[in-house]
Amino acid sequence: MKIKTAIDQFRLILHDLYGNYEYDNYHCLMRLNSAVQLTCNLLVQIGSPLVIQEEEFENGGKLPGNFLKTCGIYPIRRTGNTVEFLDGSDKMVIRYYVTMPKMEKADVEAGDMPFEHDTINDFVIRTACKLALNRNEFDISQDQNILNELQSSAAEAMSNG
Amino acid sequence: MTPREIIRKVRMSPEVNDNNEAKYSDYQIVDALNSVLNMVYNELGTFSNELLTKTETVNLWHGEAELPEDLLQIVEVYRGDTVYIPQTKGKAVSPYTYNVYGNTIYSDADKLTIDYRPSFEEIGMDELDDDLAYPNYFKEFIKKLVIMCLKGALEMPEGLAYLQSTIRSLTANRSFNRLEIGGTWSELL
Repeated sequence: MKIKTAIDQFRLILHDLYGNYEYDNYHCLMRLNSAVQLTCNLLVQIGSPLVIQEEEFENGGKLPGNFLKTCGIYPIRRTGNTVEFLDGSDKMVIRYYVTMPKMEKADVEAGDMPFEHDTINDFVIRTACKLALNRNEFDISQDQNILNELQSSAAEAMSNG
Repeated sequence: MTPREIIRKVRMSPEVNDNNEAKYSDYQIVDALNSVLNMVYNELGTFSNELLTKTETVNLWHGEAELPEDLLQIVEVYRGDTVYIPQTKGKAVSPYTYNVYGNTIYSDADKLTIDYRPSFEEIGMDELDDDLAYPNYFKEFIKKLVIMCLKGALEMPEGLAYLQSTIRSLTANRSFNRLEIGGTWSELL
């Protein structure tokens, strides 16, 4: 899904349709980015391989900025953003959970949403809407209910993969 | 049966369900495997069986030789057809006997063959494709124990009871004891 399509859907759900947008692109992206981070956290909770990366690290090397946690326990010690190996090896291949990179304003026209799966992107858009409505002090309890349903059904569908 | 095969089977099991390697690292499973093998090892040492028995021949120089590094327990010492018996008193040995002090064996023979139980050595991450010294029918048993270890169930009394009873049933009647039949009664009389 293109970022632009996601923004259009975001505005459609919020009835922000008539050219004189209440939510400009920057605002939409800000909400979508927050929603992507939240979604990543949920995917990590269910152990989804969509948010797993694998890389070889050197002893004393730096971990990437979007590193969340390792998949399982590794004989490593983390201090801030550096990693040391406790088993005496020089190099280690580590599988770890990440959050997706933020979408930038320059990517709005041509860029893609971070997830390929439309169910997840849909969830991201709805979460972004909830955040936006909350900011505008609307009553979001019903939106929250719908989101909860979406979240649990998506989690159930993906948790065994 | 290699450690890698066991890791695969553990990940594939419904209890662990982690072919994506999202929940457990290989380090974690190998650590659990080492714990399990260590416990199996110690349990095997509590009763008589020859599952893990190794043989090594040492050459004695001036009546003494270093024992194998991984020796845990001597089963039998012999030279050719002659079985040497352990001598428990003093360092000086009589003919056809041996004595062990520290990691040295003393005897009047020029070389001795030693059957012994080796001590447990942990599997390293670079040895995942080396064969384990267990027969293949231990595979399912070891897999189950590793899963129990990962889930924290092996430390429970039920886990230990399962380990002990299964080892005994797996190894029961595997071999006859080492006593040679000394002939019939009429021959002896």
